[in-house]
Amino acid sequence: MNEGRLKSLLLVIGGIVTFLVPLTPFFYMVLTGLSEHHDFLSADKSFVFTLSHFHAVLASESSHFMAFVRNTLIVSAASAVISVCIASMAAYAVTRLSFRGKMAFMLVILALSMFPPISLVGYLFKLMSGLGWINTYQALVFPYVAWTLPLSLWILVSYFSNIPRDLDRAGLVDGCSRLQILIKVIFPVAAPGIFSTALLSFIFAFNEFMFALMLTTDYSARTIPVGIALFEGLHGQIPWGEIMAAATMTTIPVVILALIFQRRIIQGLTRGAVKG
Amino acid sequence: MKIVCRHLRKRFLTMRGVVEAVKDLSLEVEKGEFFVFLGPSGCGKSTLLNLTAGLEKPTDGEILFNDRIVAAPKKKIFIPPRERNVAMVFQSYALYPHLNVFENIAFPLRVSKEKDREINKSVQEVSTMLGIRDLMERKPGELSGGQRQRVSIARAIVRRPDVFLLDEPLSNLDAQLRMSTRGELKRLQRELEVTTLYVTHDQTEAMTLGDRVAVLKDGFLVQVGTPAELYEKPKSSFVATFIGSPPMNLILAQVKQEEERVILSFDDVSVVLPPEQTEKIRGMAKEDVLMGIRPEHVTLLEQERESTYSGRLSSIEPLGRETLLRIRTGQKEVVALSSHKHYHLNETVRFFFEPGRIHLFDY
Repeated sequence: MNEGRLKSLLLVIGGIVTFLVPLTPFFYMVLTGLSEHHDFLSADKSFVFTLSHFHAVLASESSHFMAFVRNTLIVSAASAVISVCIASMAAYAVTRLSFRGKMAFMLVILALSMFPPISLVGYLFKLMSGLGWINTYQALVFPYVAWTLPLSLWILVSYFSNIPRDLDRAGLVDGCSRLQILIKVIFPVAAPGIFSTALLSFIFAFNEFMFALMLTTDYSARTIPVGIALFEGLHGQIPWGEIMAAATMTTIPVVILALIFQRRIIQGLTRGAVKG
Repeated sequence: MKIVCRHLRKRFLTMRGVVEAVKDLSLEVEKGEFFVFLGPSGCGKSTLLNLTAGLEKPTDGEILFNDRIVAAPKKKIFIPPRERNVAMVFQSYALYPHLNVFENIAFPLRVSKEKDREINKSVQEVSTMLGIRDLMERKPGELSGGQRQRVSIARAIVRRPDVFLLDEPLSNLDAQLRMSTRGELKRLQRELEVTTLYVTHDQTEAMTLGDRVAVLKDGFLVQVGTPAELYEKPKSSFVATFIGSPPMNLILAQVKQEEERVILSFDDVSVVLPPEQTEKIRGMAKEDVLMGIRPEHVTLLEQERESTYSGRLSSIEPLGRETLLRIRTGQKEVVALSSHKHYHLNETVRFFFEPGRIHLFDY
C-alpha cells in the first residue's frame, strides 16, 4: 500500500470515528425511543418498531411534555434576548468609550463566571423562596441571564473590537447619537456575532439542569431537561421508551435553531466596511 | 463658515503616558477656503480634524465656527458632532457595509428625519454629480476603491455641510486614480463653495489642492501660507525639505565675513551671498548655518566660468522630462535637476547655485 492511499484511508477511518463517537448515544436514544422494548440489544429481545412512546409522551395529560417545551422555549428565549441586550450595550461601552478600570471590569466579570453553580444554588433557592418566585419563569430567567452574561460579554467585546472605529466616527459625524450608532450601525454589522452569542445563551438555558431542578416544582415552570429526568412510569419503573422519545423531540428545536442561524453566523457581513 | 482655533491643545492619556498631539495651535480658516493640514505621520493633523469634527474634545483652547463657540473646555462648552453640521470623508471610506449605496448616501438624511421625497431628490442629485448613479443597488463590498471613495464623498456632501473634512481621502487609491480624483475634489469644492479642511502627508496633494497649507510637526504649527509662499519662502529647514520634490539640498556651511561680502563655505566650495541676503545672515549672527538650495536651482554648466564648483556624478536617475543628478563634492552631496540627458556616471561636472535662490536656516 502506498503512502497516499494509507493517508486517505486513515483520514476516512478518523472521520468515521470522529463522527460515530458523538453520534452513537444519539442513535441509541432515537432507536430506544422507537423500540417497543428498551432492552432491544439483549439476546432474547428483538427490535420492534413502534411510535407508541412518542404518542404516549405527546398525548398523555400526565406527562406535561408540551408544557415543558413551552416553559423551556420561553425561559431560554427570554434569557438569551436579555443577556445579549445587556451584553451588547456593555460591549459597546467597553470597546468604544474610555473609562477608568476597563480591564479590571472585564477581569472581574470573567472571575465571576468561574463560580461553580453548585455553590450558588443553595443561596438562590433561599432568595427565590424569599421573593416568592419559586416555580416561576423569572426564577430561572434571572440566574440564566446572570450566568450567560460574562460569556456573552466576552464574545461580543471581541466581536465589536473588530468593527472599525471609523464606522462609529462616520455615524457620529452623520448625526447619530451613541445609541443610534449601536442600533443602526453596530447591530447590523455585528449581526452574525450577536446571533451566535444569542444562540449560545439560548442553548445554555435550554440544557441547564440544576437551577431548573431546584427552583421549579411542577409543570407550570419546569423545563424539559428536568421534566424528562423526572418522568415516572405507572408503577414507579423508569419509562426508558418515553424518556428517549421525549429527548429525541427535544433536540429538534435546537437543531432547527442551529440550522437557521448557521447561515447568519457564516455570512461575512463586515465585508466591504473598509478597504481590504 | 469661518473656522477659528485659539491656543488649541490636545493631550491623550496612553499606555506610554501623556502624549500631547496638538500644542498651543492658533489659526483661522476663511469661509469657502480649501485649507490643507500637511505633516508627517504623528504630527497631530488628524487629531486637529477630529477636534474640528467634535470627535475629540480639546484639552484647552477654543474652536469657533463663525462666532459660535463649538468647543471651549474652560467655558465648559462642547457641541457634539451632530450639531455642528460637518461632514467627513475617511481614509478607510467607512461606508456602512450592511447598506447599499443609496442607503449609505441617504444615511445622514434619514438620521435627520427628512422626507422620503427630499431624500430621493438629494441622493439622485449628488450621485449624478459624482457619476455613481448606476451603482445605487450595490453593497460597499461590491465596489472598487475608487467607487467607494465616490460614495463616501457623496455621503459627505449630500446634506450640504457647513464644513467639509477630509482625512487622507486619496491614500488608498492607486496613483492614476489619485490624480484624477484630486482634480475632481478641487472642482467639487469650488462648486459647493464649502469650507474644507484636508489632511494629508503628501506634499503634492497639499500643493495642488490647497488655497492655503498649514505645515505641522510634532503638534506644532510650523508655517501657514499659500503653496507658493511655502515653496518660495520656507521659514524653517523642516518646511523646506518637506515641500518640493525632490527635496531641497541642505548643506551645513560656515559663514565668513569679508568686508562687504558674506561668503558661505563648505568643503572647498565657497558661495558668495548676494547683497540682499547679507542682511539676513547678519541677523542670524552665527558661524554655522544651513544653506538650502532646491535641485532645480542648481545649474550645470558646459564650460568653466567664475564661481562654479566641480563634482563627480555619483548617481543619475532619469525622471522622464528631467534627470535627477547626485553630485558628490568633497564630503557633501548636492542634488540637481537637469533637462539634459547626456551625462555619464563618475563624470566630473561643473555647477553653480542660482544667486538669490539660496535659503538660509538656523543650524
